[in-house]
Amino acid sequence: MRPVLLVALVAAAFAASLLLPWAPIGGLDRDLAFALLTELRLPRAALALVYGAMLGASGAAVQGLFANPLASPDLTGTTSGAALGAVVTAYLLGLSGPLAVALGAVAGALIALALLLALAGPRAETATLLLAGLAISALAGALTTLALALAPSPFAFYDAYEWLMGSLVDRSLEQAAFAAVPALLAFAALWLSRAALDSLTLGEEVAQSFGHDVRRLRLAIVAATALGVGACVAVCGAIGFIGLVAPIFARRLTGGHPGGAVGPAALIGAALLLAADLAVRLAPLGRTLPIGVLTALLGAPFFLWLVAHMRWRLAR
Amino acid sequence: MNPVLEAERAAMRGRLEPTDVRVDAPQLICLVGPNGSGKTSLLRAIAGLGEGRVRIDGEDPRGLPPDRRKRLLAYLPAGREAAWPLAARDVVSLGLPAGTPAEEADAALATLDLQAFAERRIDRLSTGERSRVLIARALAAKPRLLLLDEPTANLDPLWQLRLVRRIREAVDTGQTALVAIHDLDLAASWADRLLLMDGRRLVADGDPAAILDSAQLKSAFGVERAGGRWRELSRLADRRSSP
Repeated sequence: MRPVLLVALVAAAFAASLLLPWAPIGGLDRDLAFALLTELRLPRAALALVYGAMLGASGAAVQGLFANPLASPDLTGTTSGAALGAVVTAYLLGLSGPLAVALGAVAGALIALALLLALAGPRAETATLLLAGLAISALAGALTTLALALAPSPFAFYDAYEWLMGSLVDRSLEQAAFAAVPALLAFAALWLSRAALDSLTLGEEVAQSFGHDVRRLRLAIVAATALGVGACVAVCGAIGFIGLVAPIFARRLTGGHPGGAVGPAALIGAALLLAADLAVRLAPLGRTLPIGVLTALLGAPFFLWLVAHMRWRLAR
Repeated sequence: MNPVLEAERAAMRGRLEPTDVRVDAPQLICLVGPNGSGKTSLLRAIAGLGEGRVRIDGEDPRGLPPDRRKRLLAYLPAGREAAWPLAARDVVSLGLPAGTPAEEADAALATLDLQAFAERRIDRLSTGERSRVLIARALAAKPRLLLLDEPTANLDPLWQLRLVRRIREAVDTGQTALVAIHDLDLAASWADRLLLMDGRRLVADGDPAAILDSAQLKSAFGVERAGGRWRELSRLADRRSSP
């Protein structure tokens, strides 16, 4: 029953994201209401769905791969790497087409993940993993700022700010497709890795004795995460903590199975990001917050709580 | 009929010289040797993690998908850790082909008296209980070949005996077990056949009693049996302590 409930939850969040707030739709004539739905709200809801699901699924896979509940695309520097790749492509190289930016972001994510594997090793201790991720994030962040400072356009900083904070506002359906197609491919690869990820619970050697090629699994997960998260970052900027939180809740539903958590984590990630976007839009602040700020505001204390009080117990 | 196991030039780079092992009919085989002699590497190489040609019941496990491989061989590594705190039944199920009914996992738990722990998270068990769960995982699929690295480690004397008896029963029903073990007396009293490793090579293969009294064993371990007890060889005779 649980998968059905999760799907229903995501469907409800998606519908709410399309229909709320109701006032502008109800007050407009049919054509305008339809345009508002399809051109403004649909891309936004679709992006929240795709990006949230991608963060959840790749978070679950990366946590399973590193055998560590604190490995997630943001804490390991993958999203920062993707942001750097996108900024360099768009502002330094001047290639601002959606495909070029997406490719740049995927390349950045790939480099960040490869660096993480090289620095922390395949099955890193928590401290090593977090330190390596911190170093990569810091380096990518500094290089992103440098790239913007050196950019020919004097408005680069201002221009990139909203995107860097993570935002789903004013994206077109075409842009949503640029995130969704790679994300779908990536999700398929992660979905096929479930059994291998579960068997990694017993250690690399046992997984290998079952016939799972652990080296190929590692490559597949790194490539899929870079592709899916990179493409989403290229369109929406870096959104943190969903990739950390969603798999942790998902594993509580799957009895702790790291591979089995991939699907539920995608659903939970999608529901969380749809809810966060709704909260950002409905908050009575007079203006819209970048969604990345909200996920960080809620996610960072969760992370602190996880580290300080629960140790790794709840996380696992 | 195919031999149960045919390993030709099984090797691990830097850890195990190319080694041949052949088992024609189900047996309980103990693998003994000092630390670093290559016992673990031989088990790994036969499990398909190293080099060389391995056939189990005439089949190359490397060519088989996980669900079929699990019925052919099971490898229990010396480390007794699980990366994620699954329930004991779920840990055991990992050793079974996908879609196997839960009763089969429960039966495996029952063979090691673990019924009461089926729902318990493995990180909340004692070291010995956790070891038994991981052993139950290896035994669960009743594979043709069991490769067990130090299965009696962490177990109290009663459970060491019970486990060896379970392995014996498995062999009596047609499975073969290759068991790395440090307790020479336990090995001698239960094994049909003994493999002695020293210096990354197989140095003796045959009848347990004969190997226990052999010169190779003295030379490998630097101990000898006198009056039913093991004692260190005198320093002069101990070539292992000289460079």
